[in-house]
Amino acid sequence: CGGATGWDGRLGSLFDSSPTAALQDRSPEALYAAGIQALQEQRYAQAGQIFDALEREHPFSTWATNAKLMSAYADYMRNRYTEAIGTLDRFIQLHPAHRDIAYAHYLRALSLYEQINDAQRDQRSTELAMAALQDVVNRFPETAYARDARLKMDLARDHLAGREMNIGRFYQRQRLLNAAIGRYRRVVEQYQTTNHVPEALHRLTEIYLSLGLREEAARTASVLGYNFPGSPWYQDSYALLTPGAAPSDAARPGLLRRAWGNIF
Amino acid sequence: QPRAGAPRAAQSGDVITSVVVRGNQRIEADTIRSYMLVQPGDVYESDRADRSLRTLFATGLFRDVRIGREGATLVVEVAENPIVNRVAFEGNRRISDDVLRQATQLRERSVLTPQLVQLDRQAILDIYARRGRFGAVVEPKLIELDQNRVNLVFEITEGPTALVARINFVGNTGFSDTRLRDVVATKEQAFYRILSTSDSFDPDRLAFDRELLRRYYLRNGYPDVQIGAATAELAPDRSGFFITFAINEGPRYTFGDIDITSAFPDLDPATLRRFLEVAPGGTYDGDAVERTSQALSDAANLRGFPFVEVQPQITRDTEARRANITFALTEGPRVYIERIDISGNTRTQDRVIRREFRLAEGDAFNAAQIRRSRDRIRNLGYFGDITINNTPGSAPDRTIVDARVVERATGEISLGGGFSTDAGFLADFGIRERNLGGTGIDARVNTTIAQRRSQVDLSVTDPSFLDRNLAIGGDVFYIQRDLRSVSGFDERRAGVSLRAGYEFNERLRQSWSYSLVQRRISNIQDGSSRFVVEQAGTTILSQVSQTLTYDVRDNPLDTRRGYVIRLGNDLAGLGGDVAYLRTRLDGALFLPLERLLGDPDFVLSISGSFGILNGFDSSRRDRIVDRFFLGGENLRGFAVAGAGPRDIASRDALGGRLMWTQSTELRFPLPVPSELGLVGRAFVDVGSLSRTVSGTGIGDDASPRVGAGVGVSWRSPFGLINIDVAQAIAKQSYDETQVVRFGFGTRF
Amino acid sequence: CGYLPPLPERPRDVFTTPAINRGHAVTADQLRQVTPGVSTRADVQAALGSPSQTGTFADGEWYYISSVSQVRPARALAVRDQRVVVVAFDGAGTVREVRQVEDREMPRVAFVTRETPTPGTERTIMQTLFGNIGRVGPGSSMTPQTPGSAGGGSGR
Repeated sequence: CGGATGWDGRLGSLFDSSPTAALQDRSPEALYAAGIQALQEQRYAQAGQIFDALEREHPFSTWATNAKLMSAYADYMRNRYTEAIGTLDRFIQLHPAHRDIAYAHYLRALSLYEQINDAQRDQRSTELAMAALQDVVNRFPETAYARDARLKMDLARDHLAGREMNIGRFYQRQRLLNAAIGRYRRVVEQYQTTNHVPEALHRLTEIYLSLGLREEAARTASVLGYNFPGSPWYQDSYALLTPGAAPSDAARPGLLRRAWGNIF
Repeated sequence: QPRAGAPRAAQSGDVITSVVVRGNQRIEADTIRSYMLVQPGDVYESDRADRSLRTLFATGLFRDVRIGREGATLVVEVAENPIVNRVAFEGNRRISDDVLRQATQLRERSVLTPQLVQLDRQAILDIYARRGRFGAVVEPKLIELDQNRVNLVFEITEGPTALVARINFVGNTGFSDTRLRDVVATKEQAFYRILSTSDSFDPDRLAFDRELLRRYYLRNGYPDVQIGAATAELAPDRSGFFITFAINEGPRYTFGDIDITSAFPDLDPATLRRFLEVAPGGTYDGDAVERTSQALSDAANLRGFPFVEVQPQITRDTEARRANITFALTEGPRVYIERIDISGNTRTQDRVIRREFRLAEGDAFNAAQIRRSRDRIRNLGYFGDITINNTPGSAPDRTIVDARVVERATGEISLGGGFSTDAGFLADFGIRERNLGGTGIDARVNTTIAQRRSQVDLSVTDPSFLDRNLAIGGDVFYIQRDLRSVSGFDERRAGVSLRAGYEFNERLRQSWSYSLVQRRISNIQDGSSRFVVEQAGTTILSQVSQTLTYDVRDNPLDTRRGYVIRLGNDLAGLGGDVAYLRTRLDGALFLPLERLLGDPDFVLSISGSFGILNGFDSSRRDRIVDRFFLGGENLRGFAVAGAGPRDIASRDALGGRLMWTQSTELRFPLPVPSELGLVGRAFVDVGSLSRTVSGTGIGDDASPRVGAGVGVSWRSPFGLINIDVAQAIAKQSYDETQVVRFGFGTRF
Repeated sequence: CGYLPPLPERPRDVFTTPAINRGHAVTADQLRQVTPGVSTRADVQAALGSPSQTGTFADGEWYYISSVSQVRPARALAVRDQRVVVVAFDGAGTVREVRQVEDREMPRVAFVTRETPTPGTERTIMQTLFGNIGRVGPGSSMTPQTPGSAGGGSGR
C-alpha cells in the first residue's frame, strides 16, 4: 500500500505514486481529516491508504490509533473482511483500554457476521459470528452495539435453525423418518426462540402420525397449539389429527403436484 | 539485553498510592496499568509485582521491563519493542518473495520480538530444506530507524541443491534393483528430471519410500519383510547423495488353505466363498487379503448384518512356506449414527453431499458404507479433499459422523488445440461449471472449430433431479461436417435432445433420450455417386433411444480388470422424415496379466460390437447419415469409412445397415521410466459392414476386413498424444486404407 | 491354475435394486429378553441398546424405529417394511408394555410442501454462475458477497 519506500526503508516521497503523495501537508491531523473526508465520499480504497500512511509516518501520535480503527472500517465497507479482522485484532491487542474498544469488538463481530453463508451451506462462519457477537454483548452490555449484536444473534440463530430444518426436510422427502425426527427435535430443543419451531412441531406431528404413534402426534400438536395458537402450522396439524377439519389453504398441494407426487 | 543494575529491593507491606509509567512511546500508560496486578491503593507484595512483570513481558510488546518503588509510588520502566517498517528478502533466486512472505509472521506495522525473528528464520530454512537445499544460510539483519521503527532484512545464501546421485538396495533377492527403483518415489538424478523435484534429497520422502517398499513386498509374497531406515551419505564432492535401503525379505510365501468362519448362526460361510480374492497356491498378497476382508464385511452388511468385523488370522507353515488364512467373521460393537455433520461446503449445498451418503442418521454405523460414501463424494469432482471420521456421540452406542470437505474451483474455461486424422487441425473453446451455484448441476458450453468439423453444443445435466435416483439433462447442438473426402458431401445437423437416466444398482444404469434433429446434406461434388446425389436436401429426425449399460470395470478411465456391456436402441419414426430401428450391442473385457507377466501394467482387452438397422416404413427410408460406417477409429488400418459398401465409380462410401467389429488389444509398459506416461499398444481389429442400398456399380461385400498394428499413447505435459501405425491385412480392392493415425489434443 | 487371470464374476440378479437396512432393527429374541413389569430402563438399554427416539415431551416411551429403503429407478427411495417397537414405562421406570405398531396403524400422510423462509444472503445469479472461477484458496472472502440484507455496518 501507499508510499513506495526505498530498499533501505527511507520513505522516498520523490517518486511516491500513491494518492497520499498529492497531499502537501503531511501532519497527522491533516492526513486524518483527508481520510475522514475520503470515507464520507465513499472512496474507501483511498481512505484505507491514507490511514495506513498516517499510521506509518506518525506511529506515536494519538491519531495513529484512530487511523487503525478507521482503516479497518474502510476495509469492512469494501467487503475485505479478513483484512479488517486482522487490523482490528491488532488494535484490540495494542489498545485494550482505548475509549472506542467497544466499537472495535463490534466491527470485528460484524465482519464475521457478513461472511455467513445461506442456510444450505457451511454454517461454521455463523458459529464464529455468534461467538463474536456474544462476546460484544458480554463485554459492553449497555452500549448500542450490544442491542444490535443481540438482534444479529437472533438472525444468526435463525440461520442455524434453518440449516437443521433443511436437513430434516431432506430426510423427510427421502422418507427416512427416524433421521428427520432427530433433526426436528434439535430445532425444538436448541432453537426455541427462532420462528422455525412451529414448522418443526408440525413436521413431528406429521411423522409420528405416519409412524402410527397417534398419542405422540396428539401430544406434539397440543404443544404446538398451546404455544402458537394462530400459526397456520397448527391449523395443518389440527387438520391431520381431526378428520374433516380443513388444513390452512397454503398447505393444499395443487392437482399437478399431487399427481406428480403419486407417480414419483 | 536488559540494562544492568538491579532495582532497589522494595519492602512488602507498604500501600501504593500511584503507579507511574516511564519510557513508553507508542503504548499508552493506562494500557500498561491495565496489565499490572498491583493497582493504586493495594498493598505492595513483591510476588504480585513479579507476576505483573511476567504478564507485561508475555504481551510481547516490550524489550525490557523493570518495576521499582520510589516511596509510595510504583515505577514501571519499559523499553518498547520496535515496530517493523518493512520486511525484505535478499538473495532468494529459487524461491519468490511472496512464497517466503506467506511463511513468515512478521508483517509491516507488526511488533518485532527476538523470538518471532528466530521463528521466521527457521520457517525460511524449512522451505529451503523441502526444496532439497540443505546448505542454505539465512541471516536476519535489523536496520534501526527513527521513532523506534526498524527494517528487517533476511539475507539468504541458497547454496547448491543436494540431488540424489544413486539409489541402491541391499538384501533384495526377490526383485531387481531397477524394479525397486521404479517402486520408490525418490528418483536418481537424470537429465530429463530437470523440471521435477523427485530427484532432490528429501528425508520425509525417504520415510515414505520405506513404506512404499514394505507395501510392495507385502503385495508380492513376503509377509515378514523388514525395511531398514534409508542411509544417505554425501558424495565427497558434495554434489549428491548415495541412498541405500537395507531390506530383510524373509521367506516368500504362497497361500495355503483358505477358510471362513462366521460367529452368526444364519450367515453361512460357504455362500461367502465367491468373494475370496485369494486362492490356495497363489503368491501371498497382503493387499488381496485386505480387499477380501473388506469384500466379506460388505457382503455381510448387505445381507442385514451391520455389525460385522472381519479379522484375517494368518498361520505360517514355515517348512512348506505356505500361509494358511482364516477369515473370522465376529460380532462388532453395536453402534448407531447419531448425526452426520457436513462442514467446509462454502459453495456446495448440504443436500448435494448428503444424498451421496449410503447411510442416514439413526442407521447402524458401518465402516464399509462410510468408505463407499466417501468414494461417491470424491467422484463428484467438486472437492479438493474429503475426510470422514467419527467422534463418540451422546450415548456409548452412538457416534457422530463428521464429514469435512475442501471446496475446489469447479468452473473451467478451457481452450484446446490439436490435430486428428478425422477432423484435421482443430481448436476448441469451452466454459464448464460442474457445480452450478452449488446445486450439483453440470452446465457446459463447448465450441470446436476444425478443418472438417465445426460444432457448438450447450448441455445442462442435473445428476439427481429432486434428490431422486434420476438424472435429467438437455443438449442443444449445431454440427457442421465436411465429408467430401469420405462420401462427397457436407453434412449439417442442428437439433435439441432431452435426456433422463437412472441406475438400478451400482453396476447397471439405463438412460433414455429423445432428440429432434434437422439434417441437411449440401454441396455435393459433381461426379459423386448417384446414391449420394439423391440424398441431398433436409430431413427431420425425431428419435427416441435407450441405452442399458452393465459396467463392472474397476476404474472407467484406466481400466485394469472387469468388463462393460452396453445395449443401445434408437427408434426413429414418431414423426420426422426417417423411420428405422437401429440396435447396437458392444462390450469390452479387460484381463490383467499381472500373474502371467508379473507387471500390473500388462492388460489384455478384448472388445466387440454388433449393429443392425432395419427400416419399417418404406415411404420414410433411412438416409446415408443414419447408417453405420466402418474404418478409422473402429477399424484401425483403414481410412475413415474406408471399409464397407462403396460406389465403385465415384469412390464414395455409402455406409451399411449391418456391422460387426472385434478388437483384441494388449497394453504394455515401455522400458522407459513410468513417470513419463508412455504406454504401448499392440492390436488386431476385425470388422465387416454390409447391406447397403441396392443398385449397380456398388461394391458391397460382407467378408471381414482385418487390420493389425502397434500404437503409443503419451500423456505429455502439453496433452495426450496418440499415434497408431496399422496395416490392413484382409481388404477388398475398393477399400481405402490408412497406415498412420495421429491424434493430439491439449487443454489448458 | 493360479496363473490364469481371474474369471470375471458371473452377472447375477442383474436388475435387483439394492435394499438398504435403515434405523435400529430390534430382533424377536432381543424383545423376549424384555419382560413387562420386571425390566427397568437399564435392562432395556442393555438388551436393545439406546432407543432411536424417546417421547418428545415425556420420557415415558422409548421407540425403536427401523425400515428398509429400496432404491427405485427414476423414483425416490421407497420404504419397505417400516417397523416401530414401542417400550412404555410406568412412573417407577419399569416396563409397562412392549408393543409393535401394526401396518394398518400407519396411514399415508401427505406432507405440507410450504417451508418457513430463512433470511440471509441471497446469491445473485451472476455470482452463483461465476462465483467460483479464479477462487483463491478455500473459504477466502475474495468473492464479494452482497452485504447481508439483515446486516449492514453502522459506522461512526
